[in-house]
Amino acid sequence: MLATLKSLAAPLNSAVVQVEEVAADASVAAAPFVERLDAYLVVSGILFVLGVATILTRRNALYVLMGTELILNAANLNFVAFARFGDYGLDGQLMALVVVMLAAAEMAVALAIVLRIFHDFGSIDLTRTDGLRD
Amino acid sequence: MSPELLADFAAIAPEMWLVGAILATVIADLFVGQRGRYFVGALALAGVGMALCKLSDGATGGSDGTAFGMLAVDGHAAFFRALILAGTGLVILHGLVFRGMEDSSRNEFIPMVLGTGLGASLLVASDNLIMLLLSMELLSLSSYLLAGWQRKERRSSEAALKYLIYGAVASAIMTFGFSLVWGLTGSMNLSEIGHRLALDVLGDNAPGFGMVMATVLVFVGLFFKASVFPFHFWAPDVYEGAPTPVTTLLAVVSKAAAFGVLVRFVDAVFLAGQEPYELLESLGWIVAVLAAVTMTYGNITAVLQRNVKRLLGYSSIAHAGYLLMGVAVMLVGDEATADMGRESLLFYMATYYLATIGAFGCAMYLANRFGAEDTDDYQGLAWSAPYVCGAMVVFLVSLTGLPPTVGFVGKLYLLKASWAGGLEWLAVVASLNAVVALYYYFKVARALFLRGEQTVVPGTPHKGLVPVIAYASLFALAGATIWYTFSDVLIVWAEASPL
Repeated sequence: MLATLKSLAAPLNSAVVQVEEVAADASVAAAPFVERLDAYLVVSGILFVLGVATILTRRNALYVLMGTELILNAANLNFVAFARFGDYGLDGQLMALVVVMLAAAEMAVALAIVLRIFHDFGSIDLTRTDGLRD
Repeated sequence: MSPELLADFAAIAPEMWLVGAILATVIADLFVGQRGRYFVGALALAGVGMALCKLSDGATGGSDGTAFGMLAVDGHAAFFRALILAGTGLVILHGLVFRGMEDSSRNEFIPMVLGTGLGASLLVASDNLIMLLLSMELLSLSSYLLAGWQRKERRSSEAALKYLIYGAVASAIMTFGFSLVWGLTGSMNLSEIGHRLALDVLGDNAPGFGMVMATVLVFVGLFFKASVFPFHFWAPDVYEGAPTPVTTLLAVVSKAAAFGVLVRFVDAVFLAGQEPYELLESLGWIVAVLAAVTMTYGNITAVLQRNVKRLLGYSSIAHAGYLLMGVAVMLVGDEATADMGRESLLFYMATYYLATIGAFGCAMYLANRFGAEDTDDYQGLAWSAPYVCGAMVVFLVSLTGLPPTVGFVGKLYLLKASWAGGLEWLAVVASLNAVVALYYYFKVARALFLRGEQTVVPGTPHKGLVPVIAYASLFALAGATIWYTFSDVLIVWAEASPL
């Protein structure tokens, strides 16, 4: 378990290093950090990796769902950042709103199902709700 | 309203009828209650029937073949929408006679199935990333709930949770992929993305690693819906736990929608240009290898199964592998073979459709009447229900791909396309797989006809008009499956469904 955690943390470390490198570049390029596209992409990359790490390590259904929310937020940050810096029109902003709404709808369905699971199994631990298998 | 807007609405007439049917069934449910469930069902089927009739109106397209700039209304969409609507109707019909679902939840089941059909039929016509995501979620959210529709069954809740967890992760990753595709190309429109990529290729600026990453992330979501190898884990568990009509829905409607949109995505985004480029080659190889692994894995694991729904679940994974061969041919081959690959995929989808709805329908009948779910329970049932068991054998033969069924012709075309597209090894793998498939399909047939005591068990048969109609649909499907020349109708239809 510890080994998998460490291996999962490895991309995180490299992402942090990347942030520092980008920060160093920014000071050279003289543009403020918040006005550079790469800054947003790095943050969204970190969010994505955090989301995937949450999904892979957590056994509680709610935490796994939170992991998916992190990935969706990473996508949203990308959409908004590309819309701001890419001069692509408003499609990205629109998509970001759509994603926020979809995430809310998905959570409503998800919580209903998780409640049912708690009622039937007395637990929302994904390793305990595993009656169907080969 | 302006004429363009009217044309746009005409193009989505089938979907409008589905929305109307959803509203009508929800409202009718308030008035007629549990006793009137056949009335609610008839209302839903009337809506689906009207949608099917309106399909040909929309095929001509609204303003230049698109509706609202979001949907491409072409022959490809019409083909898949027809399959999806027919599947939705049959699932509603089978849902009305499925034992094991409480009567109190049966009325709400119907609009939910219609919602799944609506999402699926919008998905196969989506020409825009926003529309693609929205319709995919409409399809997913209603099928998560449907998988858990049997309130008193723990297995059903578990199926819903598993489908939800895997599905939420896959769709989140796909959304992240969309954000990258949009960032790299600057357009949400699939054909526009394709044109920009083609221009990049012409300008010696072929899409690089970023685009490969983005495409792989998008494919995670689509492959999950289609239950292709590394994203198939949900399929057997969900197929076993969900109520049988819902299993049918997932195996046919959801899978048709996934392949419909996958083919459209591949065609619009990657095949817009004339010049083949490196990304295309590598994607084609990834898809071809995944197709081979998916069919082999599905078939070999199916051999070990005893529960018939689970066995058919693994078989549907294997069929996702066969269907993926068509996509691989599209990516690897030249223009002529790409068309061949796409048409053989469409044709194969139609033959898979007939046999899978039929096989799950027969499994539902045997579970309804005899409470039989495992191959052990199936022993000797042919003596009690000879006609349904005979139909089951027809469907299993078609799924195996033996003559004289449409499944044989479907496999033949797929192998031919794969051979012509330069993927000879894939054709060989697929034919070897058919041998493995023969073993486990025959296992079910042998249990029905050759094992157990040769006595008649009455079971608890259904009486009434609606069950008769529902089970008669199985024989109609069996007739279409074994009627050899029907495959000509299907292949002509597939060839007349251009993108």
